[in-house]
Amino acid sequence: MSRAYRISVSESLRKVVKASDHVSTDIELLEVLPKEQMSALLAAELEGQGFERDGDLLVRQQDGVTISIDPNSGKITVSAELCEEVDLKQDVSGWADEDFGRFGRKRAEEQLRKQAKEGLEQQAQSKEEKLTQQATEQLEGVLRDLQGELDGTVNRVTAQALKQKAAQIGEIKEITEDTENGSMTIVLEV
Amino acid sequence: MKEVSEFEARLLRIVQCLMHHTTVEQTLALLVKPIRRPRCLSRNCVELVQDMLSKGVTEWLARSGWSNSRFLQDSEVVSGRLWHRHPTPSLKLSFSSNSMELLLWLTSQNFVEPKSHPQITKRDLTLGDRLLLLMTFSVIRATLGGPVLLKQPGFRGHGLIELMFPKDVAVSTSSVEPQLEFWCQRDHAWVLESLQDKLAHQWFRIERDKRRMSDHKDMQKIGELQTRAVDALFDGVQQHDRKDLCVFLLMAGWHLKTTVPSDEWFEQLDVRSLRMADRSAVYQAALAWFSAMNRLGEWNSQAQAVGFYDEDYQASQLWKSQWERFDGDQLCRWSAEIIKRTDPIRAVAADNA
Repeated sequence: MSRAYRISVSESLRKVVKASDHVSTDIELLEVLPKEQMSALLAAELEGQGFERDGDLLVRQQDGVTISIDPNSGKITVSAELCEEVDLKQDVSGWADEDFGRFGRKRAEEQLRKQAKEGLEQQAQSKEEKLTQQATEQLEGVLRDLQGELDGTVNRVTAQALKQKAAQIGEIKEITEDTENGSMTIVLEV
Repeated sequence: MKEVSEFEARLLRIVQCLMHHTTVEQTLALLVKPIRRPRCLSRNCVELVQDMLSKGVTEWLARSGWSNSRFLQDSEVVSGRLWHRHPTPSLKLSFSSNSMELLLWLTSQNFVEPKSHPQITKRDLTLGDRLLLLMTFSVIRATLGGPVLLKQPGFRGHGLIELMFPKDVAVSTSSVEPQLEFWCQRDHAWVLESLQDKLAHQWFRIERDKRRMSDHKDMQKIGELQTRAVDALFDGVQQHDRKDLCVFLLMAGWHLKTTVPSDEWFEQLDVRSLRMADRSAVYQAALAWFSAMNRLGEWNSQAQAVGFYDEDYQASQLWKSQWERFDGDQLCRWSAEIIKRTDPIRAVAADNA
């Protein structure tokens, strides 16, 4: 008479799960001055806001998110990268029959190990999805205030450029800035 | 009265359907029921097919190309109806055995589950053959046989099929590279000229319907194919100095701007579950026509700079007149505004304002 017996296998997986998200857009600057001068003004303004030079780019880290801006092209890339070391374990049990002997046991174990590995992959996938969601939320958190900050940067750079352009045209007599409505009046003597 | 066999009668009814003389619903029963293919066709049948193709394809093109239009020919602007702008010999269409092979295949096979492919040789396709392929897809695309047709030789990469029906092609198949340079060549460009109204109408409908799409995967597939098709067209027209063949994009945009309210674009598209990078990719694809307007705007700026003593003066004048006719400047501003609204950084800031 055959007897069924229980087999249990345990598989573990240790890996580093990575997730990232990014978004890009462009800063629109009016070419009040030639492009190179506008780029220089933008770079100077951004350095004043905590951006640091990294080759041709200006980069700032904020709440785990990297903001990089190319002052020449005006392209902004905001990216979040997360990684987490995970230690996963999957236990799987099944039944085997004595009648199939050692070969039957081996086959049953192989099947269970395959199931356990698939379970581990699913767990890792789930972890990666959660981490990706976290990266996206981190990114959204920074983006909420970034547009306002960029608009302010553009306004200041444009104002600087207008002052320089005005100085090229004639003698500046008076500059009045209304920060409430964002307007600026320059009186020139030509 | 000409006598034909049962097989030939079915074939002729299918040809009637492909020539848009009957509906596909009336012909479906013939298209799905397989029938043994004869070794050859009778002279009566061949003569009837020749007659139907020559009249049917011509009529289909004429229905779109009848209006008085202006296009370029050898760098000069010519105006009039299609058959007035081009000498008759240059409008000649020829059909090879590929056309007959397609018709025999459609008649003998169940077009939804065919047991074999039509023996079409892509390199031997004539202009007439390619138009028949286009008309066939035009009729059958909305049936279950549409995706099956795209797997048959001659259909995939056709160029005009992807340009005219990107929605049907994109959701059925992946990574198609539209070949549009052929249609921009001197001897074939008259076809694109005659199809401007049809193309404008199709693109208008696609963009109008995209506003209400909620499936971001389909949206991305359709938009990406539109972008590839338009890029291939732009490359072709620039290579052959025929930017006037892109006027249908202006026509579609003008109709869109004047008939569709612009305050609700992609409102039903739910991308919240996606990464921001993936959301950007979906919106970028969705805005295929709007992005194309940027390129057309650049062409207009180039045309503005052309002097009366320059070689392409006539071409630039034609482009500028078409630009003005369809208010290209306003279309450009409107496109830029829509693109800005879908900017991901602005969208997040707006959501939280």
